[in-house]
Formats: sequence, C-alpha cells, structure tokens
Amino acid sequence: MFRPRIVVPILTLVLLLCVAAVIVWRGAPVSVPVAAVEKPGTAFALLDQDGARITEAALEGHPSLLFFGFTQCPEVCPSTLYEISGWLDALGDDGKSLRAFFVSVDPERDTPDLLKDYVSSFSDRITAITGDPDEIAKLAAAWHIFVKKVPTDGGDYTVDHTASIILVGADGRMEGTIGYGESDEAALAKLRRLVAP
Amino acid sequence: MIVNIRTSFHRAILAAVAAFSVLLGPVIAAETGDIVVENAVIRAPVPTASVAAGYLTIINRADQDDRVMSIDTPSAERVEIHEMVMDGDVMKMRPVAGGLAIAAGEPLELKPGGLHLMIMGLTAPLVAGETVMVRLTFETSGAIDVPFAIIDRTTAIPVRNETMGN
Repeated sequence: MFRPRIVVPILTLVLLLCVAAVIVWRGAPVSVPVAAVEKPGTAFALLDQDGARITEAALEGHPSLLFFGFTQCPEVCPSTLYEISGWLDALGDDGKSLRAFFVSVDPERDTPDLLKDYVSSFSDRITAITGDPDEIAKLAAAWHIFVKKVPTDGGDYTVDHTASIILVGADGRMEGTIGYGESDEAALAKLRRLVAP
Repeated sequence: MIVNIRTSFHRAILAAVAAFSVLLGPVIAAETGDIVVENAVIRAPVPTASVAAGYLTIINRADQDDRVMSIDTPSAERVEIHEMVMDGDVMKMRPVAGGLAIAAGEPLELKPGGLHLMIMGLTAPLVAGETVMVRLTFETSGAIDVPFAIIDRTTAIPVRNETMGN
C-alpha cells in the first residue's frame, strides 16, 4: 500500500540526513552562504591571549568579527589583521561596540603569550583565542571554517584555512562574511550595517 | 613625540622611494652573468614573528632555462619557496618541490597572492628600512647574493610595469 503523504516526507528526511551526514563526514563545508543564520552560542571553552578562560559568552551582546588564522602564516593573516585594525579605526565611535577575535587554527604552536605579542602588534582591540585543539576544531566547524594541517619538509607543517572574516551580530548569529581581498569600501559598508543600532 | 615624528618621516621616505621605484621602473637588486634580480623586498613581520614573506623578480637572460636550487640567509634558519593558492575562500600554501624553474627570457615574478619566499626561523627581528642578504643558488648560473630591502606594512610590494593595473 503506497501512502505518498507519509512516504514523501520520510524520504525527504532521509535525504536531508544523508546530506547532513556527508557534510559532517567531509569536515566543515568550504563555502559559507552569506544568508545562512547560524544557531547562536555554539559552546566553547578556550583561552584568550592573557591565558584567561573565554567562552561563547564573549560573542554575545555586541557585534563581532571572527577571523581564523595562525601566527606562522606570512601573508593572509597579517594583512587581514592589519586591515581589521584599519577598519576599527575608520569606524571610530560608530564601531566602539564591535569586538574582533583572532582564533588560532594552530593552537599547538600559538600559545597565549605568543598571541599576545602578535595581536597587540596590530591593534589593542583584537582578542586572540587559543587552547585545546579539539575545542578549536569544534569552534571552527561551528562557523563553517575549513581547517587542515598540511605536513611540509622537515617534519614541519602549514595550515590551510578559510580566509574569510565572519560577521556576527549582537545576538550571536552570523550576519555575513568579508572575503579575503575585498575592498576597504565593501568591507566598511558591511561593518557599518553590522554595527548600525 | 620625537620618536613618532621620526617614524612617520621615515615612513614617508620609504613610501616616496617605493613610489619612485614604480615610476622609474624596477629596481635591480643584483646582477650576475645571465641572472638579474629585481624588486627584492621582504615585508617586515610583527616584531616577535618567526616567519616573513619575501618577494622578487628573477630574469634569466641566458638561452637556456635555469633553476633556483636553494636559498639561504644568515638572518633565518631556512628559506623555502611557497605558493599561495586561494581555493574558493580557503587559503592554501604549498612548498614548491624540486627547485624553482626560471625559463630563459621570461621574468618570473614572486609577488603577493602567488609564489613567495617563506623565510622561516628568523634569527633576528627584521626592521623596516634595513637590508637582509639572501643567497640564491642556481643550477647553472651558480650563487648570487641579493640584498633584500625590508619594507613596512604600509609600503606596496613593487611589481613589474607589465603587470601594473591587473
């Protein structure tokens, strides 16, 4: 007996579960749809650059920028942090509620001490996040950040990672992204929308 | 305050030099036999960084292709040639294996967003305005010592005129 009213939704559900399983199995998806609304407050317990505990609460009650990178990244990370620092200056008072976070995708090498020197070279308004590698992986996955450690010569490694900046609203939900290499004008327009009351 | 004025004055000079180098064409950093190296610069990293990125253009005037086999500098433990690739919004970096081929007569430009020198294990801080000596060893042309100018974050990486406006 064929009962489409039941079978069709069940098949749809099965299909969706398969898609979800494939996404989880493959790791974080590479592309981040700008319109996606993330569930807020994916829990994490990590350390800031002073070695103090930092959790998802740091992302609540104000707009935020989330950027994932590592200190041994010679080009994309420093240039992005330098740009963030410039945008924070350019926003002036309008952006004073905005907080910027630099999450290390290389927590084994990026200690709080190292990150403190690193981020303070760009701005006193960037909070670094590091700590337990599993917690970092969870946080990256929650924000659809692709992270992959790639071995290089001599037992060394580099880290492939999503270079986009995630814009987070005061409610802790994703509002959009700023791609690597986007113009200052485009980035500032997005940031002004993000911080608008 | 005097320090600040001197710093901004220093930056203004660096910016002016960079602007002139764009106007006047490439700056030849070193030349030996058939190899010419232009626009050799290292972006000054943050003071505590252990890595830095270097850029340059290599021209091989010989009739035959050559190859950069190794790169050394007294200022770092080692130097590798890496290629940065954007795969969608994911940044990937890969060491270039087996040396860097330099085709005869075709300038090879190492510039932001592509090939660059990955200077690893810095033994001393790199300070903008100073110079670092780097030795490139070619398969056929042998060794050439190249002075790399250290530039600050606000100074544009010089690129060849042919590629300007891209």
